[in-house]
Amino acid sequence: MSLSEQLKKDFSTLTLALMAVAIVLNIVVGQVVSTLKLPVFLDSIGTMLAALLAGPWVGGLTGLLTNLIWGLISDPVAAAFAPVAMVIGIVAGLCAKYGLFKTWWLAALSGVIVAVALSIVAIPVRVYMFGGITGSGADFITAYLLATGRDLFGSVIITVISSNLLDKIVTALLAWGVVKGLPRRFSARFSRAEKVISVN
Amino acid sequence: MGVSGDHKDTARRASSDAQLTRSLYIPGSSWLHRLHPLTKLSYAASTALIVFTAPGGGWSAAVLLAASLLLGMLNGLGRPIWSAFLRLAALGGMLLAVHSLFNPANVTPLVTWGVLTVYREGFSYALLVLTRLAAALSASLLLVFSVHPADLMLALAQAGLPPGAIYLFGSPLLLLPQMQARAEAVLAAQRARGLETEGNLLQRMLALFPTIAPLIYSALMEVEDRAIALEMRAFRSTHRKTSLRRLDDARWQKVFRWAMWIAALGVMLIGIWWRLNG
Amino acid sequence: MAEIDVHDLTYTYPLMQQPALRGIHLSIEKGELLAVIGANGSGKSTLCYALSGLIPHFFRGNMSGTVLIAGQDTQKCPLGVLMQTIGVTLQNPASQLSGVRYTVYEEVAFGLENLGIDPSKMPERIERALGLVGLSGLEGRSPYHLSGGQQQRLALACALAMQPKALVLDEPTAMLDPLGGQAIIDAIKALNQEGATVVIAENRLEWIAEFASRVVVLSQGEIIFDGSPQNILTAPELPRLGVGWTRFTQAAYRGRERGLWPQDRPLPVSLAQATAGFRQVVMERKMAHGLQNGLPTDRADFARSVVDQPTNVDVRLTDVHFTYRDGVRALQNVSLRIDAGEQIAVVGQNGSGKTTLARTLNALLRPQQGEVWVGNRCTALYTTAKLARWIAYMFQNPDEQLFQRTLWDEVAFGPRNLGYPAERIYSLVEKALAAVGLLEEKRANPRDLGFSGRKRAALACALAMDTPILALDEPTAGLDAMETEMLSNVLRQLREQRRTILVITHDIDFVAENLPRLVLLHNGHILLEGGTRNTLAATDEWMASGLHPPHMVRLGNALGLAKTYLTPEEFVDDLSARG
Repeated sequence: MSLSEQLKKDFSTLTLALMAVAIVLNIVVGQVVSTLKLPVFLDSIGTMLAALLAGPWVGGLTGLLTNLIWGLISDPVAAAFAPVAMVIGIVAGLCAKYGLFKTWWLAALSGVIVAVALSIVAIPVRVYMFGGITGSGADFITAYLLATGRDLFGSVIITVISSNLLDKIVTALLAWGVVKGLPRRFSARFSRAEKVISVN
Repeated sequence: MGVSGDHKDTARRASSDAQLTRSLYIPGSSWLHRLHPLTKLSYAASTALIVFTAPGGGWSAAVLLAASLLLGMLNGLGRPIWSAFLRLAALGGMLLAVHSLFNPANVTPLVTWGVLTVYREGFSYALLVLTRLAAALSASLLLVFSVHPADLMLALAQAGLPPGAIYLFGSPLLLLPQMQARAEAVLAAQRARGLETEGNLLQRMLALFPTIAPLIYSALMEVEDRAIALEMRAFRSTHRKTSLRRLDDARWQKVFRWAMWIAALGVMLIGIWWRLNG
Repeated sequence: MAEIDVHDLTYTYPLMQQPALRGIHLSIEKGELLAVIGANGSGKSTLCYALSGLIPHFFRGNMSGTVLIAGQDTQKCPLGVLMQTIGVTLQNPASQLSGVRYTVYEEVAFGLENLGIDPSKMPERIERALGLVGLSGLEGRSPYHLSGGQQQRLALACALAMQPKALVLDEPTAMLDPLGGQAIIDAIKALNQEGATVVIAENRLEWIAEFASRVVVLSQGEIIFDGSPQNILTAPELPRLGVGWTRFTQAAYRGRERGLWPQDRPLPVSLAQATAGFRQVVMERKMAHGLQNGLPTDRADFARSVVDQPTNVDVRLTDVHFTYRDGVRALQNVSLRIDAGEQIAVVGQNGSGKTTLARTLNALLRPQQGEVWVGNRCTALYTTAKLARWIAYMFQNPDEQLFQRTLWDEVAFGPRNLGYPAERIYSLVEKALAAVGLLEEKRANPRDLGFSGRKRAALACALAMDTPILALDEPTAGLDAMETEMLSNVLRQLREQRRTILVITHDIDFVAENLPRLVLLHNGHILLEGGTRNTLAATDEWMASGLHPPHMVRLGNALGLAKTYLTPEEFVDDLSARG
């Protein structure tokens, strides 16, 4: 199959529609969560869902575009973290591909893996572009770690991982729960959803 | 009637849509507004590239920051840009505080208040980062304030970006308010079933799935309808697509865009070389 | 050659055991307006998909037989080409928008751009299409700022601009209020008169009688009847098939039983035919003038129901004002009292304040002025979640609340939140599911049910909460004749249990036949309020509100009768009692 045909197959109209919806979910669910005042963001739920339903590349692209679009409409700073969002999608998709979303505790494990993977990409961006500071509450952690003698890189690593761990675990669990509860005819359209549902 | 992409049409559209798309677009007809969207996009992208890779200290950043601010003020965007900068204030404050006080490379003290000592190395580092961020931000604000998302999409489409990508960039903006309204509706429906959403932490955590899952499910169910809608509009037809509207583009802008990209890449390469060689 | 030719079509959705369509043979000529009717789940939408090429290209599954559209075989021709021949609209107005265009004008242009049409030829096509559906003047509006009816017409315009050879419309009026629906129907009528070939799946029989040239009845995937509206819509089997008759036909059938309608006279399907047919009888019995006292039937209560054992929970709104954040004054000086055990309908145009009123009852919306009391509790002092103990609210869109993995858990969600003991929850859930006919599906995934199934699930969720008051928002939307009958039964059960019910609905015939009291809202004010029969008789206010009265009332008015009739049976029985 030529490249353009392969692209057309992978990015069928249905996949495009899925990505558009997933991008919006990323933004909207994050807003809902902040009204509930919970210590998580859940702003990559759409990315993970896209990854679970249509594979790592679709998930990665969803994450990337979410940040770029968010940068366009609300906060240009978010665009800088587009690669991070992309990694979330790719890693979640790969975890699903290798069976790591079959049970809820495996899903939680995938969340951990995603948190670590995204930190690896986020930290250089954080440190180099932003001097390790984000303007959020996590900066106090960074400040504390710096004050106790750690170097900037190390401080930021710890900050990023700790603030993302809970969020990504909860996101992964939610994504797992949602895909498990999808109606049959929907999971028939997205063959990769089988990897999540098929076991039970 | 919207055939030539004239500004009256854009302005009329924008006034009813500003709230709808929630974009940062500010309608206007300044010189900046009339530039081709890709020119502004190239400016923002190459500025970001330059300020973060240029050799030496923050000189390139400072210069570009001044240039962007000047361009903004001359074209009526001064006030919005300053308001956006206020959002950087928290970030800037933390940057200056944390690094002046705690940066590991701090050696030379500047000022001391009781227990806290402000050091020169940390302070200048923080200032450098802040200048770079401000330069990148102001350039991208020029883009975002003066380009309506529809025009940006049109420009990208004319430049050859595949229709699928255009769809992915453009449709979330329009879907957003609808989805937000639905999120509120879900919240209302579940509360009407007795779900407590304002209680203690445990209650709020238990409320998470019931308030989010219906939103996600209904959004996913709609994916099929949206895909059908695209098919119904012959999205997948193999004809060469035409466009109702065209954007005006001047030759000097095309040349200028190329120049910016080449300059940015050049600076980036020099910067990499400079860093590798001490 | 026929425009659309279907030969022995059988189709099964992926993962399904039963075929959705069996052995369909259909031949549609140019210029026909074919209406496809059938109960929910009979295959109407599937047939529309098959006629448009979405089956097999978009919905995989198992297809045998052939579908030829203007000579093109849908299985061989790519979807992009088929879409140039056939224009399609679906039920949900908003999800047919492309989502990438900011104005109505450009939305219509989108399809043309994809087809590679010369830009200089586009304005003419776009303006013509918008004119045909009555949206001229809205070119600069954002598609998302339109009402549901306007969005549906926009979808139609987008299809028309592509100049298809035929149109396939899947229940275009299903999600619209009567006025929005009428606008679409008028547009379709006009199109057909200009020669367009139209296939329309539709549930509202009275409209089909108006414009279809041919009717096909589906049941469980097979074509049972195929013929002229006159013959098909009067067929005796229709109620058994879940389709029902028009109310005029119902009246005439009853009339035949009572000897008022001759066996050899064709049964009416429209108001004009019914008027002509009954006029003779009315003249003979001199009923055109004078007062009559009605004979109550068992379908509707005529007086304000008086409850001997008040449950002490009534609903009171006093001088309520509500203005939305964007400045819309939805309720102005509204005062209303609903006694315990009453069943009241809230009707009015879109934007009249119906939903706003219902939402003040459980504090989803808090009025800026005035008070709302539920029982002896002022809603200002409670959260919505707390008020759920006394008032259950069924929302219009079931998909906004379904999230559990099994139907049983879904229906149990409400009672669980209210903290009921396990045995009580068990019995409430079982009873609620049985009442809506979903007991067999209790282990199913709610999202596997069709739209009407999910709607019934949402009703079960509200019933299971065992509250003294229930508010139902458009419970009849999307239901077919049999399901509406089930809803009537549920309302009757609730009446026997002395529960207070508030029903917001556009279906004025349902109101006439099931609800003894009604409130008519217009622009945030109460225009009429009282017993259903009396309020329906107030023709001036109805005209002011812009709503159509029920079909039997229209028949009564056309015949010049003084009494207001609520059901076909009542009308005919009264007629024969006078003989």
